[in-house]
Amino acid sequence: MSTPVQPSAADGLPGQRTTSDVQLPVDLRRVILAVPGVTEVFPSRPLWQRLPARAAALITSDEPQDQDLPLVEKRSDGGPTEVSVRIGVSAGKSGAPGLSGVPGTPGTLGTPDVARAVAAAVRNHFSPEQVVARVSVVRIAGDFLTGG
Amino acid sequence: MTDPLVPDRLDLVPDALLVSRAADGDTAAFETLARRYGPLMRACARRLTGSYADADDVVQEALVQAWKQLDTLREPGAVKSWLLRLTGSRSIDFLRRRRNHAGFGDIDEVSGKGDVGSPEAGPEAKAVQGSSIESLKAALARLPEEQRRCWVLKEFNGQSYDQIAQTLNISTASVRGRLARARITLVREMEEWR
Amino acid sequence: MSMPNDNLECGHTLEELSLYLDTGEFADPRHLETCPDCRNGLDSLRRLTAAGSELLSNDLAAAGSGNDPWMKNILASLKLELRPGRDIPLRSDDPADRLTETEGSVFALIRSVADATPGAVAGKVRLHGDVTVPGEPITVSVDLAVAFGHPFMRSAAALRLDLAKALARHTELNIAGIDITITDVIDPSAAQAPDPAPQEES
Repeated sequence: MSTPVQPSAADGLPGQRTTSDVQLPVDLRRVILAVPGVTEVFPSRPLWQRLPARAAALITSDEPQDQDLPLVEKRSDGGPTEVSVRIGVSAGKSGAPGLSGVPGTPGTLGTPDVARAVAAAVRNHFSPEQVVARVSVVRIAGDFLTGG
Repeated sequence: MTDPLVPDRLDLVPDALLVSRAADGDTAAFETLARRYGPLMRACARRLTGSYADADDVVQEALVQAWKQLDTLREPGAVKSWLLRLTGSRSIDFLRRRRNHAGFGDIDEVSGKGDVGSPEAGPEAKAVQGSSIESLKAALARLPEEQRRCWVLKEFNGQSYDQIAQTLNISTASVRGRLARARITLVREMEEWR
Repeated sequence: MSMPNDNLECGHTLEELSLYLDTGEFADPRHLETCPDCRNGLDSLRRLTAAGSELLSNDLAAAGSGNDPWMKNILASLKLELRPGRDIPLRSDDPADRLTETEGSVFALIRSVADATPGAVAGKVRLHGDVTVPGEPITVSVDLAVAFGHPFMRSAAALRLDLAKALARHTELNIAGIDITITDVIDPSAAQAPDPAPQEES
């Protein structure tokens, strides 16, 4: 199990729980969003979502909202830092630019691949420090649903 | 597109299916339900709270509660009456909070802020307008608050005696009595203006 | 004058009549058929009920439509908790990492694939079996509403195939079967009626 670096900040912004040798989660968020197939970074906790109209604004917004920052936790037993990330993934067109957009069509980046790529990006971001990545896909959105 | 269910496919879908989807986490289905019954919720909340601004706050609270408790809805097809029940409860909560906050009385509630009717208007003035609706509005506005709430919860929100009793935290017998007194007064005032 | 009083001359009260109107309960039902006081009282109460329905209709029309700005404002400020369901494990490149996708995200995937089928809309979705254990056989069930008169049956096989492909690509579940149940038939022309919601020019 793990506990927040600053337990007293449990009700505050998860993103503020950082240690001196850990990059700011706001940078991490940018790194995660840069992984192909990732459409959203969700707040670590509590889990919530806006209705679709607002969700679209979140995706396109350049400025991360405070609660959207990934959670960086340090294990209480002195083990490696754990980084928890909750993401939304595209099932369709925007998942892999330039590739076929039909779901299930070869060429679309699969969700497990996206999750693994995010884990790798997290590890790379904190390198050389060893971290453990916890990646949870909480939304797989199909662009093919409404056609825009 | 030749698909008959596109583009507003969810708008055509029956309540029960939208409830199933929303209970599974589909916000789009929930939004469709909200748009479908939002106006009715708003109308009921406005009659209870006296203004659209307050009604909109109430509708928002009721929708948040509905999202949280959707999986407790035994009969998905009955979502309309369920939403109206939540709207009634949240409206009454809102009125209680406002009373506590205001410290004394419920002057706003009784006079109903303009569009609910003016207590000062005499029978003659109202009779000129001739409509039974106008006389009902005026009579409603003059009703004691507790009776008015019973009447609106019954006739607008469609709640049963037991549900109203729960919402108002009074006995079913009290609901019966208040509702009857409300109706007697309303009938009497409306007949006077005939 | 037949102005109603609380106590009618026949000995019954308007409260009893009010209750009768809502519940159909009355101590002496045959009395109601013959007593002019009670009938007048009931008529008055029914006129009140009718006026109440009319007032509600007026209020409803005045409240606007679900596409109005007030509704958009309410929807835009709603914060809804995600419904994650069970955590479905995904293989990780590094054994220390823990990668998962939520059951809720897979539901959404299944819905969106089903919704893309012409003439069909997904309803309830379920994953039967222990999705938290890799390799466990999982059966998918999808409820579906289809448009009346639309040749859906030809599409059912295609949908099953699309679902199988999408699940293979976006999950690592061992899908043992996909059950599609048609639970509703929608008549698009009839279904339009309940919420016409024309945008009023303001």
